[in-house]
Amino acid sequence: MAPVEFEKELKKRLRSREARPSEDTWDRIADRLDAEGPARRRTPRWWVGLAAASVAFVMALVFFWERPEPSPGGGMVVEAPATQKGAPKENPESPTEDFVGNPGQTGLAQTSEGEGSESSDPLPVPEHEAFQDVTKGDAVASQEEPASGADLTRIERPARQMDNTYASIAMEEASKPSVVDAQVDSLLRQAQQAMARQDTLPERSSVDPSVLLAEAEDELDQTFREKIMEKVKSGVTRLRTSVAQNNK
Amino acid sequence: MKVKIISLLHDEKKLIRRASSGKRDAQKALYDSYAPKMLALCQRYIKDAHFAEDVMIEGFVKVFRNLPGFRFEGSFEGWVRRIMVREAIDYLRKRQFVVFDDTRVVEGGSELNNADPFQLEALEDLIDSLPEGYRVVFTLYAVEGYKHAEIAEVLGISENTSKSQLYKARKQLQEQLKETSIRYYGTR
Repeated sequence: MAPVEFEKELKKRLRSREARPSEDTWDRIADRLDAEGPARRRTPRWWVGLAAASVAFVMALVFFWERPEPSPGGGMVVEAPATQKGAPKENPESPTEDFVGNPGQTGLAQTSEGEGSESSDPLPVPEHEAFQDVTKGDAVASQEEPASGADLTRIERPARQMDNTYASIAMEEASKPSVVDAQVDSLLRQAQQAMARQDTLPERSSVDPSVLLAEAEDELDQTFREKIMEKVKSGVTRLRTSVAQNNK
Repeated sequence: MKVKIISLLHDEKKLIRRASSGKRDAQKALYDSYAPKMLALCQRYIKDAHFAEDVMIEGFVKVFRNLPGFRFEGSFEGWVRRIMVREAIDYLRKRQFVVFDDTRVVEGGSELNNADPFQLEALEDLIDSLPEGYRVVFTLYAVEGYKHAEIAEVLGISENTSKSQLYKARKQLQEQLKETSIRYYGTR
């Protein structure tokens, strides 16, 4: 017999060899199994997915519940008319006088205040109001140290844009007995767009750190929210698929 | 015949599923069908019948504990055999019964040959009488079909040691077979 065949035969014979276990062997095995409890079963994956999704959902709920709704202007309080009125009284010689103390602008501020008090549905807080708030902060800072010329030009440009808008509203009001809210809205929107266009121009010589900070905070807030929403979405999707698979 | 085999396999699959869910009657049925072979396997590594039985019991407990993890990717018998072999080797290593001679040898020309079917019976007894280290390596290689790398990993030795143990085991078996044939047939 060839060596390989011989070893194959030997392997076959040895593998088929049997021995008789003693009578109580099964009882010993059963006792051991009883003592150790039921066999380890794998936790179904859909259960893990469900738990993850519910945790993500609860986290998202808590996050949105406890967090105050941020305003579009980066969470700043908008008190445009009060600022416009109060600023010149406190410091009439401040560098923001052009913006705050402009006669047309003052009249417009009163107009907008009056409209705000009349209208039950207040206008959405536009970006220029946030800018006003930022300029208010600048004005307060300017009481301590004078602002540079570059800062002044930067403040003046959108301020003039706003002045023009408010002036046109005032003219509209003067020509007609009452200005329609929709017209005011459209004019304000136009002004906002113009200001936004101006902001995106590369000719900006200086950068306002507070505005940048506000923008960065706003972006961070948005990305965090998006992440949470993505997590919740993916969790729910995974849960759905796993439930569907389980149902199959 | 083919239909009968398929039916038996199907039955075994159902039995395994029931056993994995903890049904004692199914576990007992599996034990009854595999225990004799597994005890013989354990006895090839452990000469003492009582210790071999203890190892088999430990092996079956592990089989039933890990049954939910069996994915039907290979034969069930092969899976059980592997668990038993591991268990037997663990036992031997814990008791430090196995002593491996690390002498390196030249490979080749060591297969068992010139043996006739009558000698197979005698060879089984000769294997049992081999020293522990030789027997374990020879059984793992020639009976269980392990490669030298696997044997080295399981026993915690080098591949060269595994090869030398196998060479020596074969040589010893050949010599003993020669003696047996002289005794039986009176020729050389």
